[in-house]
Amino acid sequence: MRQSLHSILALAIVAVAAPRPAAAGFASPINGGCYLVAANDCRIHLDPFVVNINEGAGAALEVVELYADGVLIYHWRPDAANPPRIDYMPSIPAQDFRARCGQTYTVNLLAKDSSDADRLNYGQFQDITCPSTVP
Amino acid sequence: MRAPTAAAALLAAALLAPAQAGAASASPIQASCFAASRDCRIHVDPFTIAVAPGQRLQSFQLQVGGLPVYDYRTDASNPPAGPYAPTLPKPGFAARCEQTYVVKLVGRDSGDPSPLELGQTAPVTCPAPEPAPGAAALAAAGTLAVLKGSRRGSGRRKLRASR
Repeated sequence: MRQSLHSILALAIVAVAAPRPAAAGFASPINGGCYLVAANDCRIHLDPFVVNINEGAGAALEVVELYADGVLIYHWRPDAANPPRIDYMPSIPAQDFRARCGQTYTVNLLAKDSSDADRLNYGQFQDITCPSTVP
Repeated sequence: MRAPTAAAALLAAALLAPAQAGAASASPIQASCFAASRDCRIHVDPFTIAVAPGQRLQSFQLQVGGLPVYDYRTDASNPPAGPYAPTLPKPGFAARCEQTYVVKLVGRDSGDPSPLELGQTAPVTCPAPEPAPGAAALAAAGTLAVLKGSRRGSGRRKLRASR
């Protein structure tokens, strides 16, 4: 009985200590939209988000990028010597991101921590249409 | 002008339908209009969208005078399940000065067959592009001048009395 308990305990410890799979990058939900700020001036706005880091593997955040329809709109890099090693919430520019009025976009968050082999799609929202007419 | 189709009429009816029990709903929608550097902007106070139990928020749209000014979608794989308070753009939304608008929030969760009207403001009037001395301003300036004059007069009387 004691031996089987030890076996279960050992298995539990292994399960908790095991690093996440390489492609485990994720973030809190990526929510946002496109708005009309003035005639011919549209912008993409994102709600704050948190990039989750593979802390169990001792990973550090390396890069965060935002793309609108595959076009880079935000490129973020951490401190070279002391990058975040816990979940991190980058600040988003208050002016938001320029977009074309009348166009429909999919916005992706790509990120990589040191446990990821390459940049991964951490989240996205789809089919936001930028308004085109001033009310 | 073409007559509206049945589909368009149905869509309009769905958009105008009040929120039903068990569907998405929202806290009150309050908004203002202000003169920015070159134009006027609508500012919407923070609000919370309540998602029906077991459902996920999918989208919302802010409309000003019936036209969309903010088209919003949630994360494709992990949309919010509970009450959600989106952040709103700091610059505000496009509007025309000296025009009056109703600001409307239309939203949809995964249980809604179509977008629902979640709330709207009373009519909001955008000010003039910049404060100009209109009739009201001139009248106010006149009143101020009279007040200043009467104060000056009373001051003189006090001076004379002190002699």
